[in-house]
Amino acid sequence: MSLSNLRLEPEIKADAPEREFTIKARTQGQMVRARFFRHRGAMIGFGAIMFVVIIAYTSIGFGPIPGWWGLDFSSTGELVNEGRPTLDLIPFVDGDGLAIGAHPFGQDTIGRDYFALTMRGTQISLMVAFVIGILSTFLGTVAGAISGYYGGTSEAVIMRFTDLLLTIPVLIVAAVVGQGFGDSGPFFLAVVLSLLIWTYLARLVRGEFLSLREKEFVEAARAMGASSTRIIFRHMLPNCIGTIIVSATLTIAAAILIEAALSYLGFGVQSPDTSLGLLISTYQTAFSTRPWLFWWPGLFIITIALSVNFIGDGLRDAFDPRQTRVRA
Amino acid sequence: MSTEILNVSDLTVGFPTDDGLVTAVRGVSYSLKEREVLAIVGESGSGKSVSAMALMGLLPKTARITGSIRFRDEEVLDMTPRRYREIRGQNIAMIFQDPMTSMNPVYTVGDQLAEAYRSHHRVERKVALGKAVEMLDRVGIPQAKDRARSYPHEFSGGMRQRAMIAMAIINSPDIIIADEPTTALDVTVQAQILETLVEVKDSVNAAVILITHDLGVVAGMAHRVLVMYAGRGVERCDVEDIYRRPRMPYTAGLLGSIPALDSAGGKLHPIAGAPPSLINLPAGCPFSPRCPLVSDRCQTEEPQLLATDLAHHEVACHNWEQVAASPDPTLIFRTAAVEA
Amino acid sequence: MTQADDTAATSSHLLEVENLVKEFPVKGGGLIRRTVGAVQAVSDVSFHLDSGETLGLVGESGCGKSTTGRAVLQLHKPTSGSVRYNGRELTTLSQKEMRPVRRDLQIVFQDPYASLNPKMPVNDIVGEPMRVHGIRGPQVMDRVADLLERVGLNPEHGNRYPHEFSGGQRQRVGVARALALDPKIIILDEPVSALDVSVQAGIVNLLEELQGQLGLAYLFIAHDLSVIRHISDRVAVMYLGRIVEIGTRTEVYEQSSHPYTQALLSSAPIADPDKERARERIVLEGDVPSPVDPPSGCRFRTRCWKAQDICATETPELVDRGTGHPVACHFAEVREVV
Repeated sequence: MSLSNLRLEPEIKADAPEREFTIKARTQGQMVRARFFRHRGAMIGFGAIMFVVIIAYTSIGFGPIPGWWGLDFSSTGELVNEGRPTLDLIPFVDGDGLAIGAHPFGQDTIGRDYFALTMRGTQISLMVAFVIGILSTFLGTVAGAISGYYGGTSEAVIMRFTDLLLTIPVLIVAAVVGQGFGDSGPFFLAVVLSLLIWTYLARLVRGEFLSLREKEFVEAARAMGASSTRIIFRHMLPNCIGTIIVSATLTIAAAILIEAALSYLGFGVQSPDTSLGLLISTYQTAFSTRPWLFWWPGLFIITIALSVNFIGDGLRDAFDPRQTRVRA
Repeated sequence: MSTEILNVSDLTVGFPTDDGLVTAVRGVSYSLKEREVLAIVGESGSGKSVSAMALMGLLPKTARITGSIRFRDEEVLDMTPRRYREIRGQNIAMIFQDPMTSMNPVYTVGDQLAEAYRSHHRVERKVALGKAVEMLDRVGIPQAKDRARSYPHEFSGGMRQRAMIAMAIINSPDIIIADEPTTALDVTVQAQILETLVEVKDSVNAAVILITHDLGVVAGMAHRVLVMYAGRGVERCDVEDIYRRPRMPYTAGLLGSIPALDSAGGKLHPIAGAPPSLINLPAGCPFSPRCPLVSDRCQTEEPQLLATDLAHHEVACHNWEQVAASPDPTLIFRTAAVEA
Repeated sequence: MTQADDTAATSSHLLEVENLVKEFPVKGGGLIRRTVGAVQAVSDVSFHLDSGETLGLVGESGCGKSTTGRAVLQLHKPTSGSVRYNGRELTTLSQKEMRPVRRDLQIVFQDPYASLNPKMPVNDIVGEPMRVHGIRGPQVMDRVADLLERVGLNPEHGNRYPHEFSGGQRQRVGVARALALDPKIIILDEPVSALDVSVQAGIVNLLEELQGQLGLAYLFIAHDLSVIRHISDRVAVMYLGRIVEIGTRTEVYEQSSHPYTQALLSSAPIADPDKERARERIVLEGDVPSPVDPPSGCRFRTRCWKAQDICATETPELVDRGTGHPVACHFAEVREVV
């Protein structure tokens, strides 16, 4: 390279340009983080979800790791106080202070500790939701990227396929699949659901890619001879991260509810394992006699769904704030 | 004897942002007489568009505006929203830069003009539409009656801008604010539009505030010029003075940095650096980091817009006399470039 | 070498473009979208470029000048025609074969805000061409620092992101990136149009200096006639996909012969109130026709005051008609308009 030998006096004094920097030296990542942490809803949601996750996975343990809650979710026992919750949150009315008791969430009809059951249900529901979120995001991104970047036949094929999947009601297909494969466990169910849900993100990513494809920095990469792989991974995907992350989060929120619906209908998780949806389904008739069997899992579903939605909102605002722009 | 219809005094506009209060306009003053064309010249960050939006009351609610805008003896900043709505469009009209986004794509052009008319005159729709067609004809749109039934996207860029001009004059305003009206247009269309603007302004007796960065456009249309830099007025004078007898180094630098159409000159003489960010303004005169005549005083004391040796010519520079003394002020940037 | 000819000559130019055509299909609706028409963006364009010289390509929006630049670089595959670099035909090369050629043919884009990847620091942006072509190691960083200084930027700011720089600085980064592989030809697609007036001159000067030192050839695409006049050695005027006039700078500006060129020159404002107000303006009627359905024969005839029947039936060739340089008009006549 011969350029190294030739030097010329720079026209602009090297120190003067400090004035030219229009904003502080913050990366885009820092700005996004700052905006996210400022979003109250997102922070509340974040806190709530962290609490739920920690409690669900540490209380009764997961897999080989034990938890700190003495009881497990499958051992039956005698009904204490007709299985009523021993959790006392009204310290002064009863005069006996805040109490947790042996069965804070009560017991089910055959004496299983309901707290443990609910925690197990939460674990499964969370796991399914996250698997769906991550797997469908991955599939959707790949499909969207390929169809958006290459266009032509691959785009036509992928998009028509996507259209087809979109017209099929997810619940029905999932129900059919769940019916046939439900015994294979919640993880399998999650994978199958992912195969149906990726289409939303595929469309979004394709849209982003279509607009990015025309951007001049992508043209510049092509003009220097960069390979398609490099362009997709180094130039286009990093610029879609915002959309992808937000979509993933909202997919998780939707997945929680889809799983609950499926299990409620009997096509999702099967016993002896449990999920929040299944709990609600099993005990829906107990609504009037043993309301705690219905309300506790319901409360957790609502909390998780809302929290993830808030986080999704916060992320969306962080990546794409609506500022009033005024020209100078 | 031309009367003064607009007097802007010490106008200041600030926007609260994440990084602090950004003062886009810092004490701008100028006046406008009937039928006069005042060109406000500046680059990005100069605050020229923001000051015009302040006149029209089109700034976001978060904007903090101080100072005085007197329109025919009424203080605009003290007006009730209702009164403001009365004068906006009726007495002061605006033409924006991008005609595509300034018009509503779902209504026909004729309807939009008629709406502009009916906002200020209680007439039937038919009458308003008739007026709309008349205006379209006035701005040189052929087959105005048929075109009035077209939608904005069916017009070309130049025709859309003409339609915007028609919308601006339909209520015979006293002042037309044209914010970079031709920047988005091709040069042949630009010539047509500017010609149209000159014609119609005379026909409705309007004064024009022309906001632009193009010194060629200014040369063709303006009577008086206000040069803005970093939110302030830095030179204010008659149009010939700007080109022949500038007193502000920035103006001289601008003139020296633009290539001439009518001669293939030698090297261009740019102004080093770039317009400053409004968040990070230098102490003293905002132009000092780029000015070849910079002295100690410039870096501590921001100059005010004060009178010079010429009539109707004010400049905000401590060293304007040096500029005045030089036979060709653009030379001051030439020597500076060599020394750097 | 005479500047005026670009009919097929045996002289070897650095870049030779012959009968270049680029059409974009217009697709109709339906399940499978069929092609219902074509946007004739570039129709039979020919010119040449030698090293160390600047050919200015000027025209208004929609004339096809940007498409021409990209077609030369094979960023758009030409519909037909030939592009020869150093005698080598580029239009028939595969992507793989084209890659090494791309080191010699680079481009600087118009929009300093969109032409740099917002997620990459400036060092990486300028260094990427080298990495793409297999050059690695510390020499990449050294050269990046060199290049940044060369275009007037402080190399210490190399780890910052594009949004932290001003428009003029970003454009300098774009120039540095284009220089990274030691190109021979740089296509400049409206490189200063999006910049402030006082900043434009700095970039133009930089480009001229670099050309002087490195012997670069420029295809300078713009719509600003003053800038074109300043920087070009030769100028080609385009209208609706065709070159209507081509010649040296002096020939085109002072002895313009095509009515469109004359109209263009007379419309461009001059920064001098006396001259500007005294000028004789040629104001064109009507609008630019659609490139999907351009007028037959001479495409300018719908707005030309000289138009006659022959203009609709016979497309004027770009040849010298006694004015000293090629003009595509049956009634070419020198007229001073500036």
